[in-house]
Amino acid sequence: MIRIDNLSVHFGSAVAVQNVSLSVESGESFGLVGESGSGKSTVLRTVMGLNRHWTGDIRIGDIDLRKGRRRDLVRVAQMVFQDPYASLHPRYTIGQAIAEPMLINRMSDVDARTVELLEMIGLTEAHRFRFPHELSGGQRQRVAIARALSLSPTVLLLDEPTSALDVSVQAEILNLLNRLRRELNLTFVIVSHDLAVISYMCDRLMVMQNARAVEMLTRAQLRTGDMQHDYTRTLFRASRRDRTGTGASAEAGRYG
Amino acid sequence: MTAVNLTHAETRRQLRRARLSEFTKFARRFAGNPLGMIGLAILGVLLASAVFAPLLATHDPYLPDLVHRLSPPSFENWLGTDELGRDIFSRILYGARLTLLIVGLVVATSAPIGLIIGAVAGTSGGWVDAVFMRITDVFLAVPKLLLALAFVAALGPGIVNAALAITLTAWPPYARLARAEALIVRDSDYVNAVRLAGGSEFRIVFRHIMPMCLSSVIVRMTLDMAGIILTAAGLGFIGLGAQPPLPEWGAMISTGRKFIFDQWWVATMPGLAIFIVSLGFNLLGDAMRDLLDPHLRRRA
Repeated sequence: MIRIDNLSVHFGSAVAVQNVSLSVESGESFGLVGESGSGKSTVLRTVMGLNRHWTGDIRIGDIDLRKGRRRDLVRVAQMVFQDPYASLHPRYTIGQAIAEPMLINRMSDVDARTVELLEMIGLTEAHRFRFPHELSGGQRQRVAIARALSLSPTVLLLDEPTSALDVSVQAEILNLLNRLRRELNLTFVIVSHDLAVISYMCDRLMVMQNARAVEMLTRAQLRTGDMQHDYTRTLFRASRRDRTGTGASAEAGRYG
Repeated sequence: MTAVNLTHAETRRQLRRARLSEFTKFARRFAGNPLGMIGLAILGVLLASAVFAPLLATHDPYLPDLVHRLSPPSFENWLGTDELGRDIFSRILYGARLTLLIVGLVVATSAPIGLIIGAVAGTSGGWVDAVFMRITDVFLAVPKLLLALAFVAALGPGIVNAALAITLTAWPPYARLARAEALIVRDSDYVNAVRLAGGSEFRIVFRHIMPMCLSSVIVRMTLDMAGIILTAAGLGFIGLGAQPPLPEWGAMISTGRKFIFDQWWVATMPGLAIFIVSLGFNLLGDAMRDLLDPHLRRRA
């Protein structure tokens, strides 16, 4: 579904991503892990066409990102941003925010579809005429998810979808995402620095450090700690310590 | 088909209601600011005197009455009469129309021009930004009154030309403001979300970025109105604004200058009117800034 070959991204003289390759199967949930600044979010933004200066090959479905038309791409892949407080226009109602992509792409029955999407993500029709500042962080992130789904994409790119939220709300959002993936047959690429989130959500993952891909792992390997690379082990240990240290979160399956 | 249309109308109605309730909240917060309310009251009085001038006026503002020329304020002529015996109170009432006309014309032209130029420049960046902002700089570098003078001298004196001349010098600050706001929001996630949905840059600028520039521009606009009144009065004073016998306040002060030592009221009364109205706009502007300025709100 997604194929990235030798992707490199430069911001001026700084290298954000270097020679990263990965492929994601249709219906799969793929994780990108690394500390901040490792280039994982940049990969997502580049795939969505938000960065102009990149080299390599990116294919989504049968669209080549260099040659394909933007209108086709937006129907296949959409993105959910990290911060739900910054991703909704403060002057637009929730309903308008969800309807905007459909209006841009001249779809019909926008009103009915907006209500349907609101119900799909666990809000009600009453929320349609609220403004973002009247909603909680978790509700806003639900709205952002509904907006991303409004064009019925098959691929959803999630950039730290829960890191701005309370722990209690994180679980709700992750379960919602899992349900949506099952029901709508979506392909996920999830960026996170939280190994627990990745382990709960993803079948396979890639670890990134300093703009480079370090290691590919399956969920089973992650859970048993079967890793080749020192950096991955450090990351793994750090998240273990974090979890036992704070006691706030239990095992990787804590969200289930 | 009708069902779809009905729900669509219903959607629009609900949307209006949601916006109205936001506005009500804003109005309630505004009402909590006493100085702002005074400003609003002054503006209300100005509007009322402009609209109801024929009903409120005690005399014909244009009719000379040489017998009573330069008579001091009295029961007959509340604010006295000028050198042709015209009632100053009535002239000030009618003058409110001219003041509002000029302020309205200037604001209605300069704010949108500045808003569009600034928002487009800030959003597009690159050479578009450079070209637009250098043009803005050029206009900012020219002294306001001088450019207005040159413009009026070229087109001939008159109220509309005076308004155009002020517009010419009034739009650049709006462009600067709008650009600054556009720079802040152009790479925000909610604008990127529109890009991801395939929205054109045109749609992004006009539907998503401009609403965010609007509050700064409105604040600046209210604060600017006092300055516009003063500039218009200045042009009237030197004889390049409204022409006699129009009761423009600046022109009235100008004629009163000749009698300022003996018949003080001829120049003082329109001067007071300018002072009070400018003060009103300033108070209103301050209150608006407290409520709307995104930078103040971010800090709060």
